[in-house]
Order: sequence, then structure tokens, then C-alpha cells
Amino acid sequence: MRFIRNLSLKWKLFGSAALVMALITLVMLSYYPASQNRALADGLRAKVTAVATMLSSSLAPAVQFQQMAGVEEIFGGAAKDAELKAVRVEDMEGKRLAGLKDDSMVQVLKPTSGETPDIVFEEELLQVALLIEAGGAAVGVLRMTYVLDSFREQAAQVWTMSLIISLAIFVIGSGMMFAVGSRIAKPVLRMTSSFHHMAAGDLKQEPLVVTSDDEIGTLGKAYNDLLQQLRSLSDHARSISEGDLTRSIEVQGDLADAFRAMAATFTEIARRFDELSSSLDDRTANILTTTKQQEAGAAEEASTVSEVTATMGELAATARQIASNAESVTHSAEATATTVGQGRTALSTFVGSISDIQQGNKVINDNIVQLNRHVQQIGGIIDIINNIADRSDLLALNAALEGTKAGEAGKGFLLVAGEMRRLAENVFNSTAEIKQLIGEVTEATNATVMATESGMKSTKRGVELAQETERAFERIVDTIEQTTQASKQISVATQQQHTATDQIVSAMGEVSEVAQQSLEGIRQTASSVAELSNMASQLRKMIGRFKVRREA
Amino acid sequence: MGEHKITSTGSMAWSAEAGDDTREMMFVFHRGAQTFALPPTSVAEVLGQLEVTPVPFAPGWIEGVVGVRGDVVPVLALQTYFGLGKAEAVASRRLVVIRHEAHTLAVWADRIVGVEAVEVGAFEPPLGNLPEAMLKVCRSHFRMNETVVHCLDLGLLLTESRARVVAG
Repeated sequence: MRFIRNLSLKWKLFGSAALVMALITLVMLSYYPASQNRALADGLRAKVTAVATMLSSSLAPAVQFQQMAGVEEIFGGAAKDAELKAVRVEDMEGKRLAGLKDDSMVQVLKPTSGETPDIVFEEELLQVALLIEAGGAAVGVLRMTYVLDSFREQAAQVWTMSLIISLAIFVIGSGMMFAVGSRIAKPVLRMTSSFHHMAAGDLKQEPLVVTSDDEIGTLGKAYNDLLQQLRSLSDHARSISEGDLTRSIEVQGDLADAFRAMAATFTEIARRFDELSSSLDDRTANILTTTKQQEAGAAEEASTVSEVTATMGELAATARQIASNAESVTHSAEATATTVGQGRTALSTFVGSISDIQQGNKVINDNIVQLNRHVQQIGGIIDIINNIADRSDLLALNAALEGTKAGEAGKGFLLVAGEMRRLAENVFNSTAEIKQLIGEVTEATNATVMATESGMKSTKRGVELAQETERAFERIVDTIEQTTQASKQISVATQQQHTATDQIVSAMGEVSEVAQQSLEGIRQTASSVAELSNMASQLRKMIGRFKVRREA
Repeated sequence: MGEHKITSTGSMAWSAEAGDDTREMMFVFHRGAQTFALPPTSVAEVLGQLEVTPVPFAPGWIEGVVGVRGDVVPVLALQTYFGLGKAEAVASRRLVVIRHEAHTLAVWADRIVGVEAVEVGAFEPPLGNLPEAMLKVCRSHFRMNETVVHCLDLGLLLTESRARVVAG
């Protein structure tokens, strides 16, 4: 039974159809041949009865009178029947009166009627016996024997035909049922496969093609509706997994309601997370800003402390240097006082020399001015000479012209005029050179005058400066004495300052160490806050993937 | 054109051959970029700087008039007359008073070379590329130390200048 239950639908349909066809075949094989045999037997019996009745009536006068001559003619028609094996006519005592064919084979059968023959079917023969009556009394017996070969052959043909027809009905019926079963089972198998895929989570399969409105078609439509609903819910689940919580779920049903509830819960969680992460991000940013300010302040403080420490160290060193320098200043001031005294003496000598130079310059300047005046007079004389030379040149030229006009007589005159022109040109050249020299001398004397005047001014300024320097020397001596006293006091004060700054340097070193530790702590805090801010940003980024509907 | 010996006398020297027939005496002077020569007999005298009095409505090539020993002598601006442009005034210039027959004229010379003895064979026809006004009064030319000296025909100069004055 388990095997039958596990069979597929088409095989079950085929098995049922085959069983029904087998029963029909059996019924046909058990009923149809028998009925056909009966019909054949009835036909044979009717034929035999007719022949026997006809022969009996024809033979009755001959048998009554025992006059059997000419009975062959009565048998004539029946003798042509190939199935008739023998005919025998007897009297009532069983004496053979006439016969046809091999009547010895006719068995004894006691007749009971003169109207209806007695017929007995044997294995291969048919025995017939009929009383021959004449005048209402039985006068003899007619016996016939028929061969049943044809009858048996026909019966066998009927059986064979029945078997063939039954088998054909069985095969065709079973095949048709198998085809119908396959046609019914195919969409069912397809749906079964699709359901298997659906159960395995595969929703990418194509919808079924429904071409009928019967139960199978209705089942296919229901399957397609289920597939569409599951796909819609799958898409929504995918959107939710990608962070889109804004899509509305259009399908209905318990599963869709559960999805809606889940999306609403996710939306609320995302909103809440977004608010929390935003708040966390803002607060960590504020903390980070504050921490960075503290860090900058601490760093500045540490730097300032270091600078102060360094400065105090430098101050201590400077104090030492000042103390040393103050002693040097004291010694230098004393040496300077001695040198200044020597300088004052030398300066007096210098002032006297400068006064002598000033006087000499004045004499030189007067002489040069006089020289310049003479040079200017020479220039005037040169102009006169030049004018004379020019006029001489003109005269010589006109004289040459007159000499030319005079012809041979003016030849000598012409020569003299030529010489005069040459002399005039020499004078021109010489005066030009003299003028150039006068210009140079004038420039030189002017420069000398200016230099002399400048020298006089310089020597006068030198004398003033020397006198001023002398007064400065006096003030320097006073200042040196004050400097000596002050440097001694500075030396003592700087010693005290040196001691105090050493103590400050030591204290600032401790402060610097504390400031460094504070700075390191703030940096660690800032690093932690930065990490926290980064995590808040990542959380916001992650939550930001969810798109939710904003409440009004 | 061959090289011809020119005995430079001018103000420097006077050649002993000045009187022979193979040489001709020429009064040579520079004006602007040109060098001109005149027969010495036509040069009345050479004067120094004189003040020139402009003449109203006179042509541009008449610079004005000067008084020479009681005579009023017109001063001809040679460069302008020849169409060679206006010559700059030189400080050491001379006024050359020239006379032809009864007419007297004065021209400015930037520098006077002097009276030169020129071989007769050195004279050649005027150069063809001269301005038309200069070509009309130029008798010939010769070379003096590679300098082209244009010999002016004083009669033509006076005649032409007077004709241009008359023509207005």
C-alpha cells in the first residue's frame, strides 16, 4: 500500500484505468463467446430441424409402405450439404430402411416426437433423431449425423475476435487514461516543482501559464497570486535591509500585516537611533572642541612655563654675566679716566693746529680769487686779439682779391695777403687754445676756491668740535666716576639676583613637569573623545542608510 | 673724370704759376653742403657780420638788404634760391659782395677757402643731377680734393634772379 501511495498521480490514474479495462475485458471474454456459441447452436439447430422435418414428411409414405425405391431423390438436396455426414432411415424396430453416406456412424438416439427432432451435440458430431409419422402414427425413425467442424471453427473465430477486441479496448483505454492522467498531472507536477523552489526560498521563477478555468487552472492562478504576494513581501524585506523604510506594503493578509508591523518597528528604532546618534555626535563634538581648547591652553601653558624656565635660566646667566661685566666696567672706567686726561691734553694741541690751518686757508683763498680775476682779464685780451685776427683775415682776403684784379702787378700783393691770412689763422688757432686753457684754469681755480672755502668751514667746525669734545671729556670724567660707583652696586645686586633666579628656575622646572603631565592627560582625553565622535559619526552614517518618513 | 692739379692758394699760399694761361683763378667758398666758385674779378669785397634788413613782400630767397659803403645791396639766399633748403647761420660767416656790370649782389659764405688757381683742363660741364634753378646758372664744375666745386656764371645769376623778381 505504501508503494501505491508513493506512486505519482499519472501512474495512479493509469493503474486505475488499467484495472477497469482488465475487468471489462474479462467480462467480455466470459460473456461474448458463450452468447455467440449459443447463437450458432440455435442457428444450427433450426437448420437441422427444418431439414429433418422436411425429410420426415417426404419419407413418410415410403416408410409406411416400405417402398424405399427412389428415396435417393428425396435425399438429393440434403446430400449436397457438406456438413451432413450421414442419414439413416429405420423402421420402428430399428431396421435400416435407407441411408445416405456413411450411415453406420449414426448412433442410436431414441426419438421422442414426430414434430420436433431430438438433437444432441457431441464433441465433434451432432446427432438428430425424428419420428416419421404417417396417418398420426409413427412408422419409422429418421436419424442424421452432422459434422461440427465448421461450427467449432466459427466458435473459435468468435473467441479469437473477442480476445482481440478486448485487448484492443484494454490497450486503447489504458493509453487514453494514461494520456489524460499525464495531462492532468503535468501542471500539478509543475506546481509541485515550483512549490519546492518556493519552499527553498527561490522566488525568481516565472509564473505559471494558466490556459484553463478548471480546477487545475484555478490552482495555477492561486499559485501565481501566492508567488506575486511573496515576491512583493520579499522586495519589501530587501528594501528594509537596504534601509528604505518609506515604501508602503500594498498586499493584504496576515503576513503583510506582520511585515507592516515589522517595518513600523524598524522605522521607530531608526528614528530613535538617529536622534540618539545626532545628540551623541553633537555632544561629543562639543566635548572635543572643549578638550581641544583645553589641550591648546595646556600646551600653551606648558610652552609658556618652558619659556619662562628658559628665560629665568638665561636671566640667571645674564645676571652672572652682568656681575662679571660690572667688575670689568669698574676697571675700564678707571682706565678710561686716565686716558681721558691724556686726551684732553692732546685735544688742546689739536685745537691750536686747526687754528693755524684755518689762517693758512684764508690766505690761499684770497690768492686764488686774485688769480682768477687775472685769468678773466686775459680772456678779455684774447677776445680782442681774436677780433683783430678776424679783421686781419678779412683784410688779407680783400687784399688777395684786389691783387688778383691787379693781375701781374698784384702778384706780390697776393703773396703777402696769403701770408697774412695764414698768420690770422694761426692767431685764431692759438687764441682758441688759450681760451680753452683759460677755461680749464678758471674751472680749476673755482674748484680750488670752493675747496678752500669748504676746508675753512671744516677747520672752523673742527675747532668747534674740538672745544665741544673737550667739554664732553669733562662730562665723561664725571660720568666715569658715577659709573664706577654704579657698577659696584650692580655687581652686588646681580649676585643677589643670581641666587633668586636659581630658586625660581628650580620651582619652574617642577611646574613645567606638572604642566606636561596635565597636557598628556588632556591629549589622551581628546583622543578618546575623538574616537567617541568617530563612532558617533559611524553610527549616524549607519542609521542614515535608513530612509524613514518624517513626522509632520 | 681725370685728376687735375689744383694749386691751392687761398689764404695759405700763392703759386708762382698763377699768372700763366693754363690756369684760371677762382674765388672758392662753402655754403651749406655745397662749394661754389666765382671769378675773383666779380667779387667786389668780403665783409664780416652785417645786420640784414628784411624787405617786405620780397621773395623767400631774398634775405634782405645791407648797406655797403652807401649802397643798398640785396642779399641773395643761395640755398633757398637753388631749392636746396634753408642753410643754417654760421657764427664766422662772411658776406661776399659780388658785382657784374652795374649790378651788385651779396651772398653769405660759411667759410671762404680763398682764391684758387685751377687748371683749365679741370673744368667740366655742370653735373646733370643739379636742381633746375642751380643748373641754369652753373657754368661748369671742377674737383678740389675730392670736393665738387660748382662754378657760377654771375651774369646768368643776376639775370635769372632779376627775371624771377620781375615775374613775381
